[in-house]
Amino acid sequence: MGVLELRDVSYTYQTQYQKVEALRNITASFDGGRVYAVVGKSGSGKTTLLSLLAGLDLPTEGEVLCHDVATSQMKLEQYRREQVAVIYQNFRLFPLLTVEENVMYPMELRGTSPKEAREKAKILVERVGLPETVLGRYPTMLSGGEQQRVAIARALGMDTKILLADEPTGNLDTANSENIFSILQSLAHDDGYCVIIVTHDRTLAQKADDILELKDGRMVE
Amino acid sequence: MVIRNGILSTVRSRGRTILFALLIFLLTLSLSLGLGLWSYCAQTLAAMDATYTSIALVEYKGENYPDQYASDETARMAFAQLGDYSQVPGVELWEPTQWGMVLADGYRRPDGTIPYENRMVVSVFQLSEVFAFQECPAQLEDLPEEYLILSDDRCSVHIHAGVWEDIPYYTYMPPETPAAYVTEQMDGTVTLVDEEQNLSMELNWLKNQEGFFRRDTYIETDPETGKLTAIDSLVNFRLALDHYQGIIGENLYSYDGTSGVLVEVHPGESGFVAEKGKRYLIHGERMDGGTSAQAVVVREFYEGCEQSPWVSFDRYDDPLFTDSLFSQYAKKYDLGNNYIQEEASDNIPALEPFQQGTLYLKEGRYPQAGETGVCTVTQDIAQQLDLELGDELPVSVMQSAQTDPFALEETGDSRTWTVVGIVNQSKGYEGHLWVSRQDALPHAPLFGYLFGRAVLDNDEAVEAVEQMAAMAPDGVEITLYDQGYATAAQPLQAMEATAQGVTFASLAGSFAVLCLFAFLFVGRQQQAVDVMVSLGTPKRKIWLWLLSGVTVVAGVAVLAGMVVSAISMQLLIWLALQGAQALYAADQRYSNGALGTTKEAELPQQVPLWPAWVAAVIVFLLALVLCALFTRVAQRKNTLNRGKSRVRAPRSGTSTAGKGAVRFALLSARRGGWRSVVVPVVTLVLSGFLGFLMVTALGWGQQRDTLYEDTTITGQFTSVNGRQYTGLMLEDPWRLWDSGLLSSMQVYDSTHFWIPDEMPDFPNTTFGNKLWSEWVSKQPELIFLNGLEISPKFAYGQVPAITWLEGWDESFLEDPGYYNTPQSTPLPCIASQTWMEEQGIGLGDDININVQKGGTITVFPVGSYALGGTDKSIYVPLSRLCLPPWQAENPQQSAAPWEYFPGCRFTLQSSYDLEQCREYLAQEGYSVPGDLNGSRIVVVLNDYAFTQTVEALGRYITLSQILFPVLFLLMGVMGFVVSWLMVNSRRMEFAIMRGLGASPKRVFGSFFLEQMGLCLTGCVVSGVILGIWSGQPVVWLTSAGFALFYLAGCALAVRAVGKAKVFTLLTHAD
Repeated sequence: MGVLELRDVSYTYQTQYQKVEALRNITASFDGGRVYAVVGKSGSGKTTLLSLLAGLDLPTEGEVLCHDVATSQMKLEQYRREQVAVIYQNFRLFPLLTVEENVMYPMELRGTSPKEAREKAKILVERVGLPETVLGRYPTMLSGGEQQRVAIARALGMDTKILLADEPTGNLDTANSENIFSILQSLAHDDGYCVIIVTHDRTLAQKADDILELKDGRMVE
Repeated sequence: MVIRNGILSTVRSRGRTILFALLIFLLTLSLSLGLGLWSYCAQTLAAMDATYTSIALVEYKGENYPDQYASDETARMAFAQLGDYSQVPGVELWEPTQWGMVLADGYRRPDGTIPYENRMVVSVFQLSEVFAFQECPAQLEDLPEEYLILSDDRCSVHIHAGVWEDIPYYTYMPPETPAAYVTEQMDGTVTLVDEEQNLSMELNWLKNQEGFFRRDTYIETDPETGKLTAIDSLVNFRLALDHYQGIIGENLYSYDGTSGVLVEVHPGESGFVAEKGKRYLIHGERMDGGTSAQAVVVREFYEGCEQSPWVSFDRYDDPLFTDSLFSQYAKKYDLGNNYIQEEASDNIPALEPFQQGTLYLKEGRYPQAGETGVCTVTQDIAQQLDLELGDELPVSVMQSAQTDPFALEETGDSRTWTVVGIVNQSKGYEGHLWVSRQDALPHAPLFGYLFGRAVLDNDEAVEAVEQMAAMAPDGVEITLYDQGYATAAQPLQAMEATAQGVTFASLAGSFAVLCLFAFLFVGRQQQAVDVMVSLGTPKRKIWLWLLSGVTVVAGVAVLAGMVVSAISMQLLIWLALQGAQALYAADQRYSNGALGTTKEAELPQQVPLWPAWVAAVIVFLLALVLCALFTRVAQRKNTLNRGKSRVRAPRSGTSTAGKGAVRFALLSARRGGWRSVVVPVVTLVLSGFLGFLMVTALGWGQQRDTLYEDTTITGQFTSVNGRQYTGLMLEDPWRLWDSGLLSSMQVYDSTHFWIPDEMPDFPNTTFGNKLWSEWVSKQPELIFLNGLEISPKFAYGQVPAITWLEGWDESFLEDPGYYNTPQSTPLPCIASQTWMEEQGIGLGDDININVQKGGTITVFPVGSYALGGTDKSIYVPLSRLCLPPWQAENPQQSAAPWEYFPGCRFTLQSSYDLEQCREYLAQEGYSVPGDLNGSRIVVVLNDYAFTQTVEALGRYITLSQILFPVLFLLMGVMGFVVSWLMVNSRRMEFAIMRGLGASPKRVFGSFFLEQMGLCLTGCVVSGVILGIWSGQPVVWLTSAGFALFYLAGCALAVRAVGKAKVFTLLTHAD
């Protein structure tokens, strides 16, 4: 039994012109302390899978289970707030909050006092390899790699053991990509995080502990 | 291909396309109708302005008003003080009265229009004496042995045949006769009848023996005690020379010019005594001798003339007939009787008789300003002199004497004018001609009371008249004649204002909607622009792609709007006009602003169609320009340029202020940059605009209420033309009191008075009576009134300041306590200081006066006033004559003592009763000024300035009532749209929050609180500013209302964004 589990998950949605079966009968299990890479071509259902794992939506069939509890049985906001942390391809940082405030935000959502959240944010920013000087800056003042680190720091601030990353290195150069991946890997291997990375970068995927490939919404063995 | 794709990509978002096409259609339609209505009203008002002429007559309400030929020195003094009205705003032309006299060979004035109709300069011969009985004062001790004393309808007869005391005296035969009586037949035969004695005796012989008396009673005041005593006296009928009878010889001047006919010559005061067989040349005045023969009273040429008005002569070739005062006066009368009055003006159609329609052009034209050598004549001149257009009219220029306009003297000057126009013939305008000011004759002295006429700008007429009135000397009245322009123009002006409001609101709405249209359809096409840029699409093609779709959508919508408005405009404008007329048509009945004739306004039937296409072009071009601007924005914002913007770190660094949603809202608001400035500024401007409108509308409402509260509407009975308030014949003005709408009524009545010793002796003849009447009519007036405002001296101006005897004020004039008091009771009065000084009396001193209709009375001044001139009138309480209905116990007490009241003015209880008063007047059959077919009782309400102001305010208020909700809605929608756009531009932040697990409540709070804070900041600032400026707490309502719209937009936007897939947003490329 993994930390996260997909049981016969299918996801269908209706566009203006057609019905799309994005995922079909996916069953998988994810454990802590490991890095998973979900790969596949464009339109294979990788991002849909990630959004279901992130609790942004519910599967149309099957179940997504977290610690054996189906997400359909939970309040999704609470699930997102307390169980999973997501790092998006385009970082998705609040443009009008400073780096520090961005990192503090999820902690505050969980009821952490601003003072405590601030201290913790400093530690997390340092942990992802950013200097203290960036704390008071807006995200738009940072480079792409730096913004991605801030996004990771914010995910870490959520204090969950499941970390989902959607193309975390998609907008980064090779050096930055490697740095970011090593951070994620360290989180899995050193801190017991279950890290699931959605990527189409085969090289990056090769560095993961497990690789899941999707093709036309189905899991390829 | 690019265009096709651009169009397809636009129209494929169907809902949005239909919504905006509909909005653009409606805005085009409303703009077109607004413009159409505006242009229709402006065009119609311009046509009306050209058709209607407003003039102001400047008149002096002098003693002999409205005698147009009166020679009044006080009027001339006031004329000299007259300001230059040409400088008054709204006065287009000011022309002081300027007319002169000319003579034209062959022109004779028609009967009834000549000034010296009664004058005669004739020779008489074969004069014989004619005797008649005359009344002479007599004493009781003078009674002869035989006599008859007549006392009213009784008489006493003492003759040798017997004595009859106190028997009836009949001037007709009674149905039942007493035993003895005296009767007077139609032929003057007096007969004594005693049926008991079977006596019937003619008594006329008593007259020949000076034994015929009449008992007379008069009141005399004891000069020492001041007490009045009734004195009995006798009048004796004696046979005396009454006049001469003769034949007219050479007739130097008389109305009919006859000679060889019988004439009665009355000596009058001249002392004329004819010697038998002598011929006389006499100057006199024709009179009614009661017979078919002509009668003339010998009179002096002029007052104080040393030359005797009669002289004997022997031969008809005596120089008297050619070179004497007699011949001079005969010539003067002859000349004066055939004058042609010349009037000079640079705007003849705007002279009162033309403007009022009394005179009109039958042929040709009027002389133009600056044109010389041409004239327009009345039809009688043209007919008598056989003139046609283009003919020449030679005239001799005459000079009037200072005191008599018709006393003409040759000036030696002559003119020849070419007749360019002939006007109709109208009573009172015989023998008139008009020339331009350039051709005016040398200035003549002022006669009459018309000082001049101003031609006014129709729209500024009321203000101009007010300003002219403010500049006018005392006694000068300004009357506006606008031919009904104000009444006719009012609905159109109201409609024009509404149309302007609709036009500007439509333009503002178009701008707002088209901004949104451009933003949504072009500004947000960054992705498409990115794609095209990345594919190396030329800039021109990107423009084409972006603009083609919006061009089609906007084009179709404006075309539809144009077509529909063109089709429906006629009907809609007609409906609007009907509505405006129902709403704004001011009731001007009985108003002093509606004097004179009224023109019917002809409204154009055709409505211009250009506003339809102009509106379409405006909306279409606006759409294109805004879309073009947003095209630039879309290109500038494309992702390829991203990252070039510079951002500064927050000065305060990381913040720990606030908690939860409030913290995020605060941080966003503080750091939102232009976004955080735009919202308060937009809300400040829009809510401020609405607040300003509301405050203004409320101000108008308050002004109107104040006006109603503070205004006192007065009115008066007038002559038919509405200009004369005094000298009328009002039988029962009190009837108006029954309306229950009046707070007061003031009437006056008057008679002449003199100081007892001042009256000269007059001969006891017919002519003597005439002289007595003339003398009395020149004496000052004793005026009975219950308020000084109705005094004939003050009715046209201001009541002067009164100096009061201690304990007295004007209220004594209304005191009913003088009703039915004995004749001997002294009356308090108000008199002029001049008169009091003349009489050597002060306030509180008694003085006796003889009153034309009422014997001798004692008055004592309790108030005095200083007024220029020689006013000697005395004002006493009305109750000495009669009582107003509210003080009277029965209608008889209110009746006019001498048949008529000459003037009456009244005050309405409240200005709110004005309309009701008009209705009452109409219902009771009172006439409006100028209505020659109505009753002769004309009432004028002095409400014009009030009604104009109230109507103008009412127009603004109605307009604001119509426009305010529309503008409020429009501003509200704009606020709604702004808030929607503000929230929608934050969709990603919204998604991030949701992605991080923030609760919907917190997400809603974060955005809503931020927008609320920003919006309320603007609203509060506008509320505070307007509140302080206007002092109206109600401005907060508009701020609150606007804030509601804004926040509703915000709430709905947050809800709508909440429905979007968070996952889609977060995983979207950007």
